[in-house]
Amino acid sequence: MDRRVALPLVLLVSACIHVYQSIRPRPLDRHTPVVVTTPVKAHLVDGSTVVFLAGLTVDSAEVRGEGNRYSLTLRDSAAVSSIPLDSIVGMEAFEQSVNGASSFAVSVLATGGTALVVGALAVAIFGSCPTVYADSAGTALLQAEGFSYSIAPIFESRDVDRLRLVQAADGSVRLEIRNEALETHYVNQLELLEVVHGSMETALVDERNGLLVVADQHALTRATDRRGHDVTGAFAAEDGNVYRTAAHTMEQAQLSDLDDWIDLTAPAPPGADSVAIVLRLRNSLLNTTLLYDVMLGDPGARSLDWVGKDLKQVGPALAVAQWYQQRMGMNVAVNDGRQYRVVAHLRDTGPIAWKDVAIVVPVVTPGSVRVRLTFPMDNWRIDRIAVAHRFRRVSPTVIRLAEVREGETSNPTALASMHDADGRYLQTSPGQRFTAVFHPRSSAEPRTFFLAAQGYYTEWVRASWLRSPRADHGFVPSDSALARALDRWRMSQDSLEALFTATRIPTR
Amino acid sequence: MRAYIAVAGALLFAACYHGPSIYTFDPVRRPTGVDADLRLEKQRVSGELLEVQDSALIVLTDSKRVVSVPLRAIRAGLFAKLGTLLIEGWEPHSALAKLRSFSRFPFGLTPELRARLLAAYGQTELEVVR
Repeated sequence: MDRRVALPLVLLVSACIHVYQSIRPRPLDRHTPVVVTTPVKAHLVDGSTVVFLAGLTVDSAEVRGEGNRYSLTLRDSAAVSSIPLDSIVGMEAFEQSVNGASSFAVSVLATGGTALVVGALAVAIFGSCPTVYADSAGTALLQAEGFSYSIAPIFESRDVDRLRLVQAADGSVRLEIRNEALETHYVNQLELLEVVHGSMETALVDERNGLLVVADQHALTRATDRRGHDVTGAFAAEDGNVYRTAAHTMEQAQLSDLDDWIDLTAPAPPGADSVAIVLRLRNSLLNTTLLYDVMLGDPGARSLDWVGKDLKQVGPALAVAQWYQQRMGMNVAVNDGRQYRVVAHLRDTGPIAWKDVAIVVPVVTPGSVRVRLTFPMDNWRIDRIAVAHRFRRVSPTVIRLAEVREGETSNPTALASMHDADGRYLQTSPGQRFTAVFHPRSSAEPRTFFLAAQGYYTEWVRASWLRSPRADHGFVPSDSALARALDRWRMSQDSLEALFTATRIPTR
Repeated sequence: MRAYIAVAGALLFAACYHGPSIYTFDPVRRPTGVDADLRLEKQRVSGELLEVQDSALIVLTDSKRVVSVPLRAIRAGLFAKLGTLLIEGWEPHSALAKLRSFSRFPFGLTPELRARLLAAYGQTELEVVR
């Protein structure tokens, strides 16, 4: 996200409450104690409530802090300095809002009444963002995932995703937006973008959310991985035969060498000064491993403060954002005859939905273009790459959100929350879904729709992370962190991929 | 960049603060739940929000009765410093998720605790108000 947009958004951050539950008398490990500096309410098994206005410290067996304990009926109260973990049903941590209208919002929530979520807490890894579906003859087809990896308000971003849908019989476009992960989603705005184009043209989004219409697509002349092996066949068609980093390459990973790359050679038309590289790709679960295991899991309860407090401060948030931007995603470089020069950077798009993108690169050697795609090892699954000899940038027709439906009921409050990119957000919890309805004008011309989704989300801190932290400090952005993630991903990717799909939270 | 951070920081400090503050909002500072004002068809229920259930709100009324108010009976639900979150005909799920965190018992009550709470107010069962 453009920092000129990101920084003012800090001023609009909503307050958050962090809730976690089912603290059990299991040893956290030698890395504890953990300090939570936001105000906390602890709800005890006997119905009493303890208020820690200045936060608390979580130890392996108890929480400590200056608190007041109130009985079930609130008729009695007494000062307390510690509570055994096994007497706690759940705790809430509160933080102040900077924003006005909707000052409080739930960011990490696990309620006793949501049995489904409680049951899934220990294992669920599905994430990370709202998923978008469209109805196709009674079947919900995945279309996109919105604002992936926007894990705190300061990282709020706007994603534009190409949709492969047809309009409903009444001409409307209906998209079902689901929260299928253990996350709280804050959706600021949804818009439908329409691009009209010729029948032989394809409309795509570029790495900066701009829109292109491309034509005259050609297959690659040759593609090789960093070992020099020919991998051209993997990119020939949209067929599920995808590129992934070779196991041998991953085994050679070391702290100073964590990248994979692919060298592409493609024809360029005579006289052209640029062409568009067309990719269909999605992230692997390496990024999910980095987020869940290393960023949030390793610090355990410290992640409550990291997400709830540190990431709302400009300095720490920018440090994470800059590292993430530079280290993850994909660099696109062009060979000028002597060396590769980076000309574009593609952000991570998420591990759930395939994304179709086009990246314009200069033609610096007559008749052909040589491009290098560089990325952290195994960060991507790439299904197809082609080169479009013709392209033009286009401005879409913006179709505003017309209605939000929850089941059969229209929800004007939700509509108002997502109509404009402002301080109002629609907040959804795991298992929730709604339908966004748009009314594009009728047209006989070929056209492609895109969904522009702006927002952010916060991860729920899993009980398993609280029980077994591995680090004695919050997340520190570094190549060491990426190396740890890569090592764990390499060892567990088969089981993780199966678990990822299996732990999708059913919507209701 | 530094200049921009400085400007953003200045704006932050200059910003007006609205809405509930953690320094004054009772559900943060005290063990109590948020104050609720529920408008039903023929009556009004005011009191502390104790528990949010899937189809009802449990409220300790100003007259110290523990009552259950079915969601479908609520014409409008106003909550201190949070505003009107429940309106008849509107899908309540999002509002309930928010309200649950500001109830006195966000993690619910076991039957035993509920019985003890009722007994404290001279009741043996929840009084349903429609």
